[in-house]
Amino acid sequence: MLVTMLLMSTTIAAPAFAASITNKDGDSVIVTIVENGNRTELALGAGETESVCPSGCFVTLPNGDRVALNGDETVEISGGSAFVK
Amino acid sequence: MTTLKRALFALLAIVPLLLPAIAIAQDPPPATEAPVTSNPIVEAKKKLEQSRQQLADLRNKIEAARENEIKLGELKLQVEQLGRTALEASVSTRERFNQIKARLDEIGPVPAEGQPAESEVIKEERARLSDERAAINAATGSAEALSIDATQLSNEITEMRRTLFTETLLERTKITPEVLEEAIGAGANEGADLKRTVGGWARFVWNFKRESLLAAISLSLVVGLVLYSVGYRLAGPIIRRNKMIEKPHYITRLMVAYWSIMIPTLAVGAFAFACYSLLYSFNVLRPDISPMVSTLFGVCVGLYFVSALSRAVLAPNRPEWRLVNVSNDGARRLERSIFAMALANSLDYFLGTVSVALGSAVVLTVAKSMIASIVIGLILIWISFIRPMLREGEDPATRGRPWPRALSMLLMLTGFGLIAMAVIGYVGLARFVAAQIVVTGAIMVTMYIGILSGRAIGTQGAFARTYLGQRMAERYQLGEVTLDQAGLAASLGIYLIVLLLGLPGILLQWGFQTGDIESWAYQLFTEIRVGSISISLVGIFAGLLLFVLGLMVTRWFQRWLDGTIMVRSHVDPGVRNSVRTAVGYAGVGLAGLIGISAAGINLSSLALVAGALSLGIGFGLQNIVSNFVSGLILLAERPFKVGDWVVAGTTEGFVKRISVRATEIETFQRQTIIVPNSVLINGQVGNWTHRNKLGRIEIPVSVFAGNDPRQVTQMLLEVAATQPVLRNPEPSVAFLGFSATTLDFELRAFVADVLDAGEMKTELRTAILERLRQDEIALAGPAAPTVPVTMDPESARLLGAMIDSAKGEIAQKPAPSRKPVPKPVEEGADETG
Repeated sequence: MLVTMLLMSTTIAAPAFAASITNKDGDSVIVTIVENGNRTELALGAGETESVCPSGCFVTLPNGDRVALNGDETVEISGGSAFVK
Repeated sequence: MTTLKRALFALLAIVPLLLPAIAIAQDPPPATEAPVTSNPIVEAKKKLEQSRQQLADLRNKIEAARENEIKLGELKLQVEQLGRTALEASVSTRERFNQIKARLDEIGPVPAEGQPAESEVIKEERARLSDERAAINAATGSAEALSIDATQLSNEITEMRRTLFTETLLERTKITPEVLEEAIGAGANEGADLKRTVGGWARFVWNFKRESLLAAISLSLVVGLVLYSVGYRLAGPIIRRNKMIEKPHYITRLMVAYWSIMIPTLAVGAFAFACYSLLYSFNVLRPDISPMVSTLFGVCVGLYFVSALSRAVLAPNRPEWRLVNVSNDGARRLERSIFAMALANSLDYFLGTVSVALGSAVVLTVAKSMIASIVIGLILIWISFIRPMLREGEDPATRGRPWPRALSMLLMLTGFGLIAMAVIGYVGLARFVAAQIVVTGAIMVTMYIGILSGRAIGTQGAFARTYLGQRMAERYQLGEVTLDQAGLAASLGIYLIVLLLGLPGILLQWGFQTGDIESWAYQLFTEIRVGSISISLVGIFAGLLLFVLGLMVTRWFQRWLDGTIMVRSHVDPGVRNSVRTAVGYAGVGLAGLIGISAAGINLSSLALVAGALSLGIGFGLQNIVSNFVSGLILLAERPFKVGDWVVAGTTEGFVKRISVRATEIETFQRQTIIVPNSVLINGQVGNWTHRNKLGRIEIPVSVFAGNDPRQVTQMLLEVAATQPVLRNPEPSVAFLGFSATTLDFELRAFVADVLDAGEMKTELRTAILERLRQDEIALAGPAAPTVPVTMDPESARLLGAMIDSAKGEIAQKPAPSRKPVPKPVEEGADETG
């Protein structure tokens, strides 16, 4: 039982890929990220890329759009709105 | 219209595939709606609305199940699932969202004033799309709120479960005949239920999923065979009890015991896990069956572990491999009773899961746990009557003696205590204690064996005696010290493995969740908070690593600069040494700074400390600082370099090494003297080889005063000319003084390398002496001076006659050989005397 638990824990702990958000605008933007019930604000400078929420989250963009991420997407912000790949 | 038609066709094509599923499942899923026509936004909204409703329901259920640990666990899973559903629902609108955005971009913004007005159709479309976009945003927003709610609820459940764990242990269930009757009824029900469920599942699987089942089973068998053969080949030598060894060493026994527990158990666990995963991924398991199957696998692995452990420690059939000193009979009985205890526990656990899966009455679980506790209590009492003890050196085949009184009392008390607890109603506590006796006991015994073997390996010289150590020594030609170090490393490694495997196991046993342990471990490595200071092990480790890396890069750069660049540029060795040393110190400093930064230590706070300490350092470390600065000056100014022949005070010798605090000077007697740099900077330092290696040699020569000084001078110069001394500056001879007995000269000549001076002096002296002899220049006067004697002619004649007669006597008998013949002195040969 112990061993199965250990083995299971290793599978659970397998690393998930994080979503990456890239700011393609000239100015820095602030996006709001809700992950695991916590709301955090993320500032992105011009051209910066950040990895966020490995296990899924909601992102609120500068223009008010909201997108939900599974955690493996690539998001590009341009003109305040997002393009999700 | 065409899309509708296509959808209809697709549906028709799917229906036959769906049929068996519909026939089997109790309520067919409402999958008959055509998904093509539905709007993803409406769908998502519907799903979210459902989820919200479910969340509200779950909240009520959780309130109701506040006291039920197991139920809470299930509800928590459901709540988490809801959170994921919310996320998925809003993710499903993304495609539509992207379409809308792309279309809006195509249409472009509302035309500004002055530009031609756009057509009504476009205006309408833009308005429609914007509305839709807003609707998606609103839906995503509500999904977000829902996910926050779900997370909070899930956290609440975790908190509830934690408090429950501490409370239910001491909860009392009344045990009355009615309760037992009820339990028997529930048991009968459960049996029927189990038969129906398992039978239904088995029929279903056999009829509809036969291929999957067979594939899963055959793949499991393949996995099992691979694990068995690979494990046997790789781990065979360390887990098999070698029959050739008659009296195995204690360490060998420990190692074999430990690894014969760990490796097969891990292999069996891996096999069980693989089986379960295969069955699961082939969709053979139904949700109500899968927890039973997983528990069955888990229980089997646990049972295997306990029996492997008892066999490893007690070795019932191989007394020479036994780790504890017990009799054969005792070992056999102990092993059986431990296995029986583990079996009772496993059955209880498995049946508990069955009850949960089938939703049986709680009273049944209570009754089963009570029976298990009583059985384990009885086994404990039985163990207390076994007579396994042996005296030191006693034959294990004898009957053995009873336990020590304290131990037997403890066993008996625990046994009776368990039974009493179960009978008076503290079944939860009794069950917990019984389970801990078996499982925690087993884990702790394993850990203890592991630690023992680690310690045994770590003692000096122990590793060299083990099989592995001997093999390593043969294979890699290792020395005693290396082997000992390898033993130490092996011992530390064993400790680490034991702790990493054992501690989480015990914590899991005590009801901590995997996530908790993970987060603890994560925190332990990333952030340990002590007050306001936070230490990160990973950071410190990374800092150390970077520092070592920096050092290596520095050393490599030093070597490259010195050996490749500066050698080719024909730079002076002193400069090379200085540059190399300076580069070395700069590299070390830089690596230190990088390491400190990487370790997360704030440099500005260090600066504060340094500022506060600088006064103290100024006073306390005055000498060291002064030496340090002197060292830097030495490196820059270079009054001497490595290899120079220097004289500093009473110290004379060759410079071996110039470091920042002190300089090593090796005397001619090969004594190394460490001279602080400040002494070298402040005092006078003589350097024989500073700008050039030219050196002057002086050879004092004294000859007998009767010689001609000019002849001697000429002779000395001629001798010098025949020797390899420098012609320019040319050799010279100084006439230093004269006295009644000697004339004192000094031959001065220059040599190209002052290091050759000693040899050259010897050569010159030899040559001078040879020449003196050749030219018959006397070095000293006669041994005794001549004394003039005045006498009258009569006495002179008499003396002459006496001498003549004496000579005649000597001629007649030969003189005794021992007596030295006095040297005849010529009268008047020397007047000076």
